[in-house]
Amino acid sequence: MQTDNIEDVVDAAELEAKTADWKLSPEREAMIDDLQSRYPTKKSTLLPVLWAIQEQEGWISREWMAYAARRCDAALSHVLGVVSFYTMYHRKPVGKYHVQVCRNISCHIRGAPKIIAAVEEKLGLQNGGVSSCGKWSLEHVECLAGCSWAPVMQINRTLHENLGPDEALKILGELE
Amino acid sequence: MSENTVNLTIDGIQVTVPKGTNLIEASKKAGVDVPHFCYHSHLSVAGNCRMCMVEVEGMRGPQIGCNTGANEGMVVKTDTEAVKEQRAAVMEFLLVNHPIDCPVCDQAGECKLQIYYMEHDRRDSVVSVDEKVKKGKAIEVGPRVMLDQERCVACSRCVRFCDEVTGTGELRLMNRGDHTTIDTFPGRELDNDYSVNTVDICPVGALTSRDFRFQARVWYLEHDDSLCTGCATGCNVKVSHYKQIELDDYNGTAYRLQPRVNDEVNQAWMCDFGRKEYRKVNDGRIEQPFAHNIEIGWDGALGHVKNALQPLRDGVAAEVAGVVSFDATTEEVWQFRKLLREVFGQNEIAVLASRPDGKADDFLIDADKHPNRAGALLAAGDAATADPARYLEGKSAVIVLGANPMATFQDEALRQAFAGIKHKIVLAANRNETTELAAVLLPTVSFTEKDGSFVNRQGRVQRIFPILRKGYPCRRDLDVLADLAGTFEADWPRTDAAAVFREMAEALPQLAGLDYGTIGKLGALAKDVATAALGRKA
Amino acid sequence: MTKVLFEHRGKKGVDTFEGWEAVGGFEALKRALKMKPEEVIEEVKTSGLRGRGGAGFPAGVKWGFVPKNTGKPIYLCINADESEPGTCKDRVLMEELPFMCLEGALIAAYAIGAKLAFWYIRGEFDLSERVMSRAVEVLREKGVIGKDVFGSGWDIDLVVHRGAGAYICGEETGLISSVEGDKGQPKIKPPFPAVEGAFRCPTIVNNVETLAAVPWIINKGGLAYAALGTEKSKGTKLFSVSGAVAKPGVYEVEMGYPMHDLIMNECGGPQFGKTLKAIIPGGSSVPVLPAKIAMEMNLDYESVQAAGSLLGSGGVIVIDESQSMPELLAILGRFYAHESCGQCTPCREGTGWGSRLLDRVAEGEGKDQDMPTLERIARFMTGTTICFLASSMAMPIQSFFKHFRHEFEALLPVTTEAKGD
Repeated sequence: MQTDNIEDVVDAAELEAKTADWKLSPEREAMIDDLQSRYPTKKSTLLPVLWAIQEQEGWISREWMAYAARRCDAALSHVLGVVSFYTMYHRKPVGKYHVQVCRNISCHIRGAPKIIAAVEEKLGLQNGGVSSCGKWSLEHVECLAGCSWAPVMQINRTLHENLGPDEALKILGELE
Repeated sequence: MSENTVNLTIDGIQVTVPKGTNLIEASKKAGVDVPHFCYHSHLSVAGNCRMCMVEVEGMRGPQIGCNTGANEGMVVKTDTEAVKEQRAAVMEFLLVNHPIDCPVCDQAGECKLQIYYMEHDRRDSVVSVDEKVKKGKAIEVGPRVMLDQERCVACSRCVRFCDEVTGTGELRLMNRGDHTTIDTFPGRELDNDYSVNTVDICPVGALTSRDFRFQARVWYLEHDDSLCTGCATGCNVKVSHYKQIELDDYNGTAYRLQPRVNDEVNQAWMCDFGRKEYRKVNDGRIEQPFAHNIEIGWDGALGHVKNALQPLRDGVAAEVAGVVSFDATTEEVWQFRKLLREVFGQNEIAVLASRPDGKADDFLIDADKHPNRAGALLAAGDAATADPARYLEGKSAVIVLGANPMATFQDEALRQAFAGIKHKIVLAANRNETTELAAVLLPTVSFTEKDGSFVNRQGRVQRIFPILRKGYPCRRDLDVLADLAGTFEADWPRTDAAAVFREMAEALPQLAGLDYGTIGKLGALAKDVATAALGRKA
Repeated sequence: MTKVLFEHRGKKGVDTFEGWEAVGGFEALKRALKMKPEEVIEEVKTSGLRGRGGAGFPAGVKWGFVPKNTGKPIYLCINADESEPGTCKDRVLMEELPFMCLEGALIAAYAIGAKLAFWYIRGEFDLSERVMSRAVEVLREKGVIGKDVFGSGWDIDLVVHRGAGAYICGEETGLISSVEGDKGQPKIKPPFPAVEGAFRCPTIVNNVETLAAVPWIINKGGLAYAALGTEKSKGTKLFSVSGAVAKPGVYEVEMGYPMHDLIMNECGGPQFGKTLKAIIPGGSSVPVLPAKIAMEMNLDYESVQAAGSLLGSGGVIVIDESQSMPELLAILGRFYAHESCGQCTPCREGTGWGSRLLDRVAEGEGKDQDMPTLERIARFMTGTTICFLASSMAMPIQSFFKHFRHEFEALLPVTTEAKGD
């Protein structure tokens, strides 16, 4: 995988063996069991299973992809295909605070470039960057459906609307 | 017109096809080639390459031929200005991020991008190489397949093959947009038993065969019909070899086997083991007749045979034994049996395996690693001995046709019995444990160099064809049998496999009504052979 | 003006089960469950309700496409993957009126004979997702989702299925792929989802706003809904107004309402009193119009089309004189390049290529052939792919060039031809 580090590739069979008895937290396992009783196929629960992994682990490692493949009766390649298709699944750890600033048209018209510049300067990060302390990561994202309350920024799952650069910096400051 | 067929017009040509036949297949029937990348007759329809667009009267805008079903009265046009412009546009889009590395690409010559570029685009690129999306090159994606991600056109044929045919699912298109990249999960190889089919169906140079790549430029190759001899399935194949006319140093080398469509046998596929069968044509061949390991020429060799066997023939005829294998054609076994009976008065022959049973699956790979167990047993009939070791015990001479009684897997008693025979006359194309012991070694030909037929595990009679020739004096097996007969003053015609088959068809009810014409390129079922003559399955 | 969707917006507690009941909630569902499914479909057909996700296909007609007695399960997918730039209406409905949305979905599920519904919600949505998940839990507790709903003998299950960041999952077959646990790649048609959709079974996909109108239609009658709006565009529509206006927001107006009034009255006119330059009336994928043309048109499917654009999702993006059109188009180009699913050749290659060209033009580093090349890309991306994403990038390119050509040309080098070489 071009985006993966070749050196740390382990044999997939070893990976499967290593993760054969991995489980998520009991509540998450129960949640998955419940979903699998409702969904028509196990494979169709792959997205919720990946979410459960990311919520617990913060990102989705190859080990956890192997878990997801087993849990959802899917090929390993299928799981990676899905993880690599959806932008919200992280294949690498992100910061404790994952800051997503909208760069799309409605936010742009109402000043997103200034928000982006202020946040980048404050965090010392570019698009896709993760701070060395692991606390912050920054991502320019597409429309977050906050258009009528633009510009917007989402930190982890919380959406902040009607921002100016000062408000944005204040929000980041409160998390420091 | 029946209820299930429809008439439609394609570029003014009227055709009748089963209702719902897609327009690529319907066009083929009209002799019209609709260019396409992602469509494959033996995979599900993906509809993503957008190359096969055609115009259908009454439908708005161009339609993809692969997912448009033929209806009664449909009027299809594949050569309008709109269609031509669209094809050129698809070519331009496909080449936006393509590395255009044809000079070092092994697909050159059979690359759909190249072929269609010449047919449908022929414009200069407006995108410079440094503007292109970069991806991985020369990745050993599996033990037999090499991957170049930049050359991929994301048609998903290989993905669908691994999902739908093998069910192994190694490949996926990762990421999205123009970063879409064909790959496996890290640490998982493309290593199923059918992996090289992905190379065949890859329309471009993204997946190439590690065995075949850089061995020959396909521009110089031609591809003729044959059969895989790797197991009892008898997959229909094409053999790639140099066009004889164009090269002075033509040497009858086979470069690869690729599957040929036969929906009754192998659909459009073959296994990776069978791919290696072409090596039999090139490797370990016996190039000269030998007597006691000395090159001696055909006359000398046949003279040696005569000297050794004449006294036996004049004395106790049953002193001469015959050993043949499940690798021989049905015609060869028939003639071999006749030679033993008519020339040496020997009514029994031994019909042996040349190798033990091997890996099998529920698709194309059969445990029986011989192409013609059923046919050999059919032709040998009641002459086949039930106990080869005992049959050979104490014989003074033996004629071996393509068999390997000395192979290490063989029964020890058999090996000892064979080893103890004084005069060993061996007809073989390739060297093996038995040829090492031959008193007289007569070089025969490989499956690409002769006429004949095999009966596969289904009881299907299928033909092989003489498509290659070697520069050294090997002779077709049937000719050598005729030569041997001639040595002892019997008058046999040479090399007329068709005539031998006709004779068998008259004598054997299982082959009644069949001849080379009715067998054709795709074979025909023998009667009651599948259950009766497979022997070991009965 | 009659409000259908926002009739109860803002009322205290209306986002709770009891609050929704207090304003007459679930009456429509109970009424529908006493009707035959085909009668419900007929009522919705009568209303003239059209799909509010962007395509505008009549909802009742779509429901009628589900084949009867195939023996296969039937699925309903609720499209809450609101990701069209400039559109934020479904979020408001879900966050403020979750039980109305769910009631509409349950009526639809009953009408088409579904036993399982997927509430497909955008991965980025936080509050909406929490509100909807909680509301579904409440309905399960109350037995409104479950076995024998309101004693009708009808069973239904509904799950909230969260997306994970892919615009294309808003396309109905992309959404279905995503529900199936795949990449959200649109599927070739035929077969159409109503016949063979999710899990190869009959499937109906409806936008949240479409379904949210259904309880009102069942309560007040299809004719009452049809009496609103224009002859061909019936009822009301939510418009998410964003960009350079004083009061951006989500407003419900009757179909046929003048754009001028929406901008000047509801939205308080241009922000900072600036002159408006352009308006994109239906989400980022539809053609941009010069403000002068847009301000004279009415907001219904036919009028907007006559003016040269599309009503789409009702995402009204207002652009004033301070904005650079090449810069805005480059932003849209990046969006479509980022969101192309990568299946079809023209889209996979055309969006990225087009975006790179738009970027360099906007940055003043364009080459003299870039505009003709972009026009060629746009032309051959239109109508040549499985879904509409490629066309959705082509329409902005073509319309921005058509109406604001001078702004692009001003950034390009003077050609040798123009110099009179």
